Amino acid sequence: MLALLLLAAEWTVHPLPFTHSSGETARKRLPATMGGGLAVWDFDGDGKLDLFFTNGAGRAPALLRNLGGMKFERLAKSFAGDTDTFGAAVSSEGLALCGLRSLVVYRHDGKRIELDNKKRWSVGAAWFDFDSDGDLDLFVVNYVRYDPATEPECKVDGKPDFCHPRYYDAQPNALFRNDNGTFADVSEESGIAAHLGKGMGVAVADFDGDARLDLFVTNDRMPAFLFHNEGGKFTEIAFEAGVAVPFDGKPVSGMGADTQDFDNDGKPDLVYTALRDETFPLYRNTGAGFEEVTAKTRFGPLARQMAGWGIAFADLDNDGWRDIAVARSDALSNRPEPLSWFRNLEGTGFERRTLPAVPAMYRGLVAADLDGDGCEDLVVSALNAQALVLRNPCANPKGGARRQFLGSTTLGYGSSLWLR
Amino acid sequence: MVALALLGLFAQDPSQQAAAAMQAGRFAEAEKIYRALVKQQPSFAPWHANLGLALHSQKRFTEAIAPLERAMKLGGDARLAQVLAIDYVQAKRWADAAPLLEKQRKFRDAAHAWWQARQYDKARPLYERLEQDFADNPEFNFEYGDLLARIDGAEAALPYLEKAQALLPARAALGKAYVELSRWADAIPHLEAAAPADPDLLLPLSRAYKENGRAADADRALIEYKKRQRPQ
Repeated sequence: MLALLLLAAEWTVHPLPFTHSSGETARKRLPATMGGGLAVWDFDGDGKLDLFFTNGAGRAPALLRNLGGMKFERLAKSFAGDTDTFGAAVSSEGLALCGLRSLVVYRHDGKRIELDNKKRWSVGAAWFDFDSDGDLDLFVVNYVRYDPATEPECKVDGKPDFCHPRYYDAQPNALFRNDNGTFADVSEESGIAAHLGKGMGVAVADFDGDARLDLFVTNDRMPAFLFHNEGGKFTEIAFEAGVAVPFDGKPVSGMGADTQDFDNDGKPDLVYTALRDETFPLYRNTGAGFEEVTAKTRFGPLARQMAGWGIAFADLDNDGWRDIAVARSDALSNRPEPLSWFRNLEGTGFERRTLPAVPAMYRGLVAADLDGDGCEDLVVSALNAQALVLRNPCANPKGGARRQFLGSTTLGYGSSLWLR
Repeated sequence: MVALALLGLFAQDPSQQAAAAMQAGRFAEAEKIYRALVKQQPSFAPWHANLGLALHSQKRFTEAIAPLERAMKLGGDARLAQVLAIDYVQAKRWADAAPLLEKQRKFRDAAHAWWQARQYDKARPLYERLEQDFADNPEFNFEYGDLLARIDGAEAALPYLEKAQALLPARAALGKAYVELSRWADAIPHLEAAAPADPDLLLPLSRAYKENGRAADADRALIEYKKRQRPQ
């Protein structure tokens, strides 16, 4: 009987009716490495969380309705004009969709609003109330300046491959203030536009406990940003706070990011993914800044040989401590990897666990309870592969670090925004 | 007359011409002939092999790889694999070189190649196996220490890195290991020595100064570090 119970306590894989297309060709254009952003929310108000996937290769995104019992149907709802999308962010204000040349907000009443992102390549976004006026504003993560006409051709081991980010110029992120449903670009006056980066992921929290939401933004092979909210204006303080680069001073390929309290001290901590041999830097919020604990918690050595994109803190074993789930795969070449999660050993360390999904070019990842059993499942996207749900065996449904779930998104590459 | 005719025929045999060119060290000429032969008989392993060898002999290691790989697929021998391994190393294709070197029982070279390829789980057993033989070799100790710092942590790496201090990269790794262990005073001289060659080290150096009560030095190092981190 015990053996049967143990057998039942396995993660199970549920393929979804959506297959991503990256549009990769022999020319190896950079946008084909991106994509896979996804969002989770109850779009039809039936009490079950539905799924939204961005798509590349001139194809439209997909909305999947949750039918219950881990069954999903793809809705005919058309996003036909919004092809080549990379990131998505959802909130009570609507769904923000980030593209190579476009930035669009779909309000929940169906209205489509195009925002002027100055033709910049946006890969992720986050909704948050930066000016404390009661409505949600939109922060947009912009990646590199990209022009297909001038894109360099690069080779790895003598074969055409995607170019390293150093071949592309940095550009600023953007901030749009919500003025009763219209969006004003306040990137300049807020101080956000003063910092050039190669943004990939964003995590939002009140990191210093001053009752204002701050922004942590990962950059690809550049120091990360920590935008401290000083009442509607932002100061970039990543170095002062100790989160700009890992302790050895080497900027890493920052990808997805998440913030939650992993050591249960009441303060939001930070983690983000990077590529092979860079580790996934993990920072403990001390209240007066951050302490890098990548090595101390053994999280670094465990992740040393991995490349990661989407990442989420989630209490996957419901023991009251938030674990870390990672969508893995290399960036520039076709090196699939499995999915992993790291079990939190009561805030002092981690142990590595593997999920049953076959290796793929995993990109987006969201943790959410899709079947209402009290445990967070995982939704993952992968380049040129079928999206999956991994159902949590939910061995301990009554425990767990709980929070009210309204919606979660991968912000391009997995950064999650939880709306409380 | 017959002899002359035979000589003429013989001289016209491209494979003989190529072989003669190889023997005489005229590798560019041999390359040209083997390229033509490969076109004529694309499934014949020796033409690919000899084309690869002609390129290898001209030190065009990266170009030699494709024909050598093709020859190996068509049934190349162990000697060819040795040449291919050298070319992989020269082209810094470490992950391709390592298994060949391991198969050839060149364990030190294989360990180095796996370490360069950042495949530490594959490198580690080789370093463990070689540890006694290379106990006093600074390069070996640096590589093994660096590997241990990455997958086991600074504490495990220290004994090896300390034995490799003659090498500048080892001093960088040693400085970082001391920082990781909060041994700030120990870290400073190593980071100071290594930072001119690796300016990223200015950040841990700044931290070490700060924690060691040298605030002005810490500020100076941080300013210098930030200057070098401007968007590319």
